Amino acid sequence: MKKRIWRDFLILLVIFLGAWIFLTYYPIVDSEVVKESYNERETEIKEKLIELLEFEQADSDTTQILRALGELKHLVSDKDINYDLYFSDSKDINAYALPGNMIVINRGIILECDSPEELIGIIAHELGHLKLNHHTDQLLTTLGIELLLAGNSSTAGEVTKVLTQSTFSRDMEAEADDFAVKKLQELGISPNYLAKLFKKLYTKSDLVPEFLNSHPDMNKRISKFSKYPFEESKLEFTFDWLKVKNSL
Amino acid sequence: MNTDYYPIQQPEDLPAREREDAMGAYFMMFASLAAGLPLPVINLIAAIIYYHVNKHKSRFVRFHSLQSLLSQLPVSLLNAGLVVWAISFFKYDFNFDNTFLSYLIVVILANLLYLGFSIAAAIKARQGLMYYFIFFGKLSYEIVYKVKEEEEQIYRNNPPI
Amino acid sequence: MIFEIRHQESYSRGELLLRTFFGYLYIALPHLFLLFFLSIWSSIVGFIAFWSILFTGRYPESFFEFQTKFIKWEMRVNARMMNLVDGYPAFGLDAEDENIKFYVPYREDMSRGNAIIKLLFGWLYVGIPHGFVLFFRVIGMFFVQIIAFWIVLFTGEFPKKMHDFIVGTQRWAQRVNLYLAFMTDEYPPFTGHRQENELGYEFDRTQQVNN
Repeated sequence: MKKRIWRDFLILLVIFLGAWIFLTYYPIVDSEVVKESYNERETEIKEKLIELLEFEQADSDTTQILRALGELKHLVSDKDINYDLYFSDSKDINAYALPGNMIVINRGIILECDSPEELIGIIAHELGHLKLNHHTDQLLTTLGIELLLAGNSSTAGEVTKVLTQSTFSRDMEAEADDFAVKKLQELGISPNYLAKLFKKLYTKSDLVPEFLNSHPDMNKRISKFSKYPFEESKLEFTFDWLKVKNSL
Repeated sequence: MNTDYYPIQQPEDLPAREREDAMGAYFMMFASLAAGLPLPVINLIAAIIYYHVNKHKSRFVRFHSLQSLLSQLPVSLLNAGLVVWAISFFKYDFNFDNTFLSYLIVVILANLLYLGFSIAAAIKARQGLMYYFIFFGKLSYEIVYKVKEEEEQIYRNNPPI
Repeated sequence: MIFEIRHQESYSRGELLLRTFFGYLYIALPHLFLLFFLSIWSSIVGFIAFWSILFTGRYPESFFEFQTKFIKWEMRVNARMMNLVDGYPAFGLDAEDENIKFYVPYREDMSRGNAIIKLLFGWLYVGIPHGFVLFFRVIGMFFVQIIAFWIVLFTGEFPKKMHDFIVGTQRWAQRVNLYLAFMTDEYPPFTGHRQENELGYEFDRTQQVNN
């Protein structure tokens, strides 16, 4: 009897593994096809989003700001991430990263930057979010919480959801900051530039409360960047920053 | 056949209540539907609890509960593996390959087979019949119906000194 | 359905105060913790029982027994928390309590048609009418409980009418619950009083439970 039991078990195992291996080499649906259709879907959504929110892509030769942004984009690069930089004509002082390797810079924050190095710091920070996969971590956390709560609509559940969904967590912001520091040092720019920018924005924050909400612990962040000594950066750009700002 | 197995009860000896209990074992796979959470582990827990509760009833009921539990185990493990593998794609970009897709298909087929056989077994159990799954049937029969010798209690109570 | 909670001749004021201040801690918490898991099992079992009625026309007897024991346990805890009886509720599905009587007769054949109608329209022809009336009755019960608390505190006696009102509300709610849980095919009456077939099971008031 025991022998027959083991024989049955082996039969089951062989059937399972056999089916799996067979379908791997003679697939019903090829994974390449699935990936392609997924990528197509993703580009479609991206294009719709760009159209809807009227983003303008950097690198095109149409306006001064786009050319300038294109130059900055080539400067701030990462070997793993191939991202697109967009300009949004909104006076909100904010810049953000979107899934699909998109970084969007608003007019508002460009006007606040006294030098291109500060904007490079902002781009590097957003690139950090993309590189460290913060969006997917967000998604998974939300999914996990939804699964745990699973239809039990309680106040605590709603509060947790809102707190975790609205912005990146503070740890993620700190990680992106560290990435920005590294990137700036690679480019030979002192991270103190960002400290200057944040100090300026913080003193203006009573006029722009949402900046404060999405970036808590401003004091900690400013002190992190202030630790680095300030040195004038030796980078040269083909554009005149003041002229570019005036064109907006 | 062998004298070291308990005899199997025949359908006419089984009252309606036992048949219903045996049938109920195969419905524990719908437990996660009932509880509202889409986690496959709930089915497994429900099957374990059901077996534990019905262990002390007749061997017929015990056999079907055990068979349901043992066959639920690999299905739950495969489903859990699928979920973990799928989530890992979120983290490391969607570069799944044919191995994953074929695993997905095989797991779906396994679930369907399990569903079909369980329903067939539930119907048979209600009729008072034994129904043996391919590997789990023999294993459950071996565990439930084999005559085991009672081990003597070798521990005796003694005063503290 | 037999649903009885004993009405005592005299109630202990000490236990009343203890329950009022710490009841949630030493009665409700331990029991509710266990009852929570049992309630999950109860909903699983109820779900399976529905399909069983649909396909076989019978509520599986083991599941039926489990449900009645579970309801009985809940009754035990509720009776104490509402100050209807004194004492500490016993743990366990098989526990006995002399102060509680709960019995639902098991029927061999349940109507499949009824089951489907209850599932689809239960909220309409049971939930709305009974829910509407019970809503007000429960509010009344809440006030009666508060008044009864003070009366028991000062006199040590629970007025029979109030006790009956509270127990009646519970009885009514339980009838509706049993109907919607596919355990009986009798449409719940719009009253908390005992029906004809439930008479004769009341607690004998001359037998007193000493605390």
